[in-house]
Amino acid sequence: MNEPLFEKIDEDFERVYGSVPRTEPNAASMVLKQLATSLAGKRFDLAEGHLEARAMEDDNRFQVTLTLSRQDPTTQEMVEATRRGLNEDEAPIVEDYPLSCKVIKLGAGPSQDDLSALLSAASLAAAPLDVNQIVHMTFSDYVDENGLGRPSISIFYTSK
Amino acid sequence: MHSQQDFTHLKAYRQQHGQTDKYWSLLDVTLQDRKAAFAYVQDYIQSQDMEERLLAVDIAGQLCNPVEEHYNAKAHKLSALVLAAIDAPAEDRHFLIAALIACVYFEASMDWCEKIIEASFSKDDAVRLQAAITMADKVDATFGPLLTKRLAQLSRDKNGEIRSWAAFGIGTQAHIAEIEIMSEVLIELAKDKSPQVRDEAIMGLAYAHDERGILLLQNALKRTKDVSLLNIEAAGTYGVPDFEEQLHNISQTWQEDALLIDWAMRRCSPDLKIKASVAEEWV
Repeated sequence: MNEPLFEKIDEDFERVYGSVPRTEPNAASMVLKQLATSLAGKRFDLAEGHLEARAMEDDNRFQVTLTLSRQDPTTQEMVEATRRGLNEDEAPIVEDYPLSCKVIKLGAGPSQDDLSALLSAASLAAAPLDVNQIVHMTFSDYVDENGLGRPSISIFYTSK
Repeated sequence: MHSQQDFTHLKAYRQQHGQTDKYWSLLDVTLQDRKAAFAYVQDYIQSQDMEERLLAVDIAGQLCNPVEEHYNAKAHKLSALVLAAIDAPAEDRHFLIAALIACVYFEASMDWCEKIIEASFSKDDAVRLQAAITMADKVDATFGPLLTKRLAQLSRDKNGEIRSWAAFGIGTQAHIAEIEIMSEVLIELAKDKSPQVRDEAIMGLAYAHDERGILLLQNALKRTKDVSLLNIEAAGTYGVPDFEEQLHNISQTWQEDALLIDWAMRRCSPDLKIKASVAEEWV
């Protein structure tokens, strides 16, 4: 086999995608996965909304941003449209606007204390959320072209 | 030749796992109503019942398949539901494979790539194979370069079927990736111990119009009695007179697709009028 060729392919692949297989998720991914698990059993005190948590991680810094957005009233129409199963082009398009934003800067890696601080911050904005209220939840541990982790979770939920 | 619209592997999967008449009835009824189908996927994607979860991802895949009459405009929401659900039952190989099959029809995204690529590192041959099939079937200008790099890595897999799909994917996607590097990979695959892998690799070289494949294909065509359909298609894809005589000899005893070999012979004819009378690609 042409070993130099495959060494180059391996290097290119890792440069573009990051080091895989990621049997050990990076720190930011780990925190957000735990956060997502924690939030799944809670209820936010907003009528309708969207919570988004993003994490950035580089050599010596770990930062998590929590953004709570409350969508304008027409969001209700969109949610209803989704429930009715209308086609995408029939659903009204609405914009989010930020309700509050918290930025937590942690150390090089998330310790148990760091994680507790993060979850406490999340719970400030969150009240128990019934799992049936979650319309849609996505998780991504995307690694950008520089190999930096930029994972995020998005939880779309509705009132009871 | 694997077709991108081929449902064979999906049907084979269903048969392999012996899904029931109830399953088929429910699938048919649900797909008659796209709204009901969308609701079904939302409800059952995280069901505790394996059959319901498998059906949910099946339906999601079909709703997102643009060649199906059931195509649903909310394709990206459906694909997000399936991608999110892949994480939960990681130990559940049947569900993971079914989800990877559905992913063939989803629009590529970074999330999509992450799930498929992660699965392609599985120790389970069946999971790794389906990940290779899903990547090979996805021709995407944005993510093609990344996917072909992973397929190039899989070209050294211990499983011949996975190497074959890697060769197919690289061949069909080389034009949107780094064609020179991928052609080198195909040259390596053309030396594979498996004839199926070698044939797919030569087909890929034909797609790439890499002249190094001509001699390799001439050698393959010397087999005469067990020449594969892929070999004939590759000769027609090259469309050069180098193959004219061999194709003529093979046609004397050819029992397979008559239209295919007729197309290939016309494509390789030195008479430009005859050559111009047929399409460049075999459909």
